[in-house]
Amino acid sequence: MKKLSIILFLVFSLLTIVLSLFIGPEFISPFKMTETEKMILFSIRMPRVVIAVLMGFALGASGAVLQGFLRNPLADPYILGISSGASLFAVFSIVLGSASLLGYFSLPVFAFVGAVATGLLVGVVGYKGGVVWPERLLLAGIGIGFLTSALLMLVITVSPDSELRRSILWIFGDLSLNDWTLIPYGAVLIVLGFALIVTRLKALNALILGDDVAYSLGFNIMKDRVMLFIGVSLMVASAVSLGGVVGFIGLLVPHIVRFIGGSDARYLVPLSAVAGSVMLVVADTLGRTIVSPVELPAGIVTAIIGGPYFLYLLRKRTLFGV
Amino acid sequence: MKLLRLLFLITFFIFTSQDAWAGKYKRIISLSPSTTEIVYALGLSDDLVGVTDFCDWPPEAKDKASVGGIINPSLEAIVSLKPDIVLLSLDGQSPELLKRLGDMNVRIYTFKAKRLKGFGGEIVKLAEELGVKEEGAKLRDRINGELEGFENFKKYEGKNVIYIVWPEPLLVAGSGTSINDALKLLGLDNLASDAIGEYPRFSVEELIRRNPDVIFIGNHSMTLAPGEKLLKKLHTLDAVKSGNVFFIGDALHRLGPRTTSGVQELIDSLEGKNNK
Repeated sequence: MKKLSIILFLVFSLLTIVLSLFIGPEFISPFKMTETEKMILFSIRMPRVVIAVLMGFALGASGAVLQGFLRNPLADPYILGISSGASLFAVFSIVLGSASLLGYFSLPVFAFVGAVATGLLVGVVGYKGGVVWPERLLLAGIGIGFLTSALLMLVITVSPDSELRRSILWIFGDLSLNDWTLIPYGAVLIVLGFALIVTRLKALNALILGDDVAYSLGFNIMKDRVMLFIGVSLMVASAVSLGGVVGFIGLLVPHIVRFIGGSDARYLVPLSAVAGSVMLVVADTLGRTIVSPVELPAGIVTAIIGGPYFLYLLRKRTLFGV
Repeated sequence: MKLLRLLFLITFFIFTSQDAWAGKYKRIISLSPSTTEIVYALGLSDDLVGVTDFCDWPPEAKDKASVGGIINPSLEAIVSLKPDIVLLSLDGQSPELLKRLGDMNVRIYTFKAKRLKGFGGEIVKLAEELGVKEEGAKLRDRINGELEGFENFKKYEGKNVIYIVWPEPLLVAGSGTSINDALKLLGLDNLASDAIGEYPRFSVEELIRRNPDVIFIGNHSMTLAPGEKLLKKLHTLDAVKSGNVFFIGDALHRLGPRTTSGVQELIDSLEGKNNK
């Protein structure tokens, strides 16, 4: 039964993603397309759908891992300060106008470097006595997040209005102008990060129960934690570099999946990844369709449709036997 | 006693006559590029003591003391210039700033023009407030005369155009803007006039589907990289293929003495007299 519902869910997800390609300000029929429609489909809709799939996948999986890893239901992919580090560097790249140096790649490369550097810093602060401690890591992430956010505000405050505006729009996330250029790099890094995580999902299950339990079950706590942390950092850094900071998915999608499918990490993490993809794709499709020709940013739509659904599930489900 | 009275009368006359001769206020601060240009055009530049970082026309305006940006000017800088009056436009008015200035008994005047039609009248109102109503009326008559002249220009009537004000994400001039008014004046059809909002965030694929004959891009906002990113997306459009993509300066955006030269810039672009 469980296997069947998982297969159904995957088929439904795939169909939704494929269908979304044809929905937009105008419906495009896959059977007869004009030249213009072909061009819209392949060079505008497809890249943004693929980026939404990648970002949603990375954020959903990272959120599910971090909530277990940090043993905190409030954890989301941005709690470790990685996103504010990425934003800080991205805004640096906008303000410095280093566009000429790396051209098109300047902003995403800066964002990625910022994210990885912040992740490393958090990891180093959270590491002590041969172990990465969840509590230490969480607090290090929050502390460094505040620091990078403050630096970000500082840069924004002293930068001219036009750059300020571009910076803010980037931070809020925009999928509408993406093309294929960044997709291969993003895809490779996200798949790599996910592969690192997938091999440690059993360990994650044990870690949720406590370090002593995991240890007595024969897991190498230190090594597993470091791998999970590197995997998450890679995925979040890539996602932020692709399309800015899209909230909600990393925090609430894992909870929704947990309500429905249980909290076994071996299912929870991959299913959260797929659900994250579907959610972001649907949100982006609605965003470009409902008030066309005007567009709404995907992050806003995600929170508006996902929030009430989450609250509905929260009321319906029994938690802690109540 | 009589002498004192006479002295009083003399000083009174000196002051009032001076008022009629020059502006009413000796220390004006302009918090928008638009009002700065108008103050210069009214011949009151000597009384202008403060401007924003964005007041770049006429070029001399850049030499005036700056009080910061349009959205976030420094209250301290404004107050320390001891203004008799502070001029604002409808853009970038923060209620907090208005309240703080009001608390400090600084006189505020808002230039309310937003559309092409009737903005000459708003210039006269501003000029009246500044004590130079006649200069204002002259400026209005010049502007209205030039605008009427454009009405006869129907060579490109019915062409579909889009006016991009920001490339990433794509923001365009919708209906309800002075830019839309200018396009209509020349008989051009703004493809974004059905979108909600003044400067709506426009769908790129809709832009491609609607396939404009001409694309105008406000070059005040163009940083090189994002603009190229957008044009790469649009390379199949007729407007791009036939080279009908024109960068337009900011005269058109600013309702003031140069607005009509902004409209002329649109015409020059269409006539091929403007570089692309």
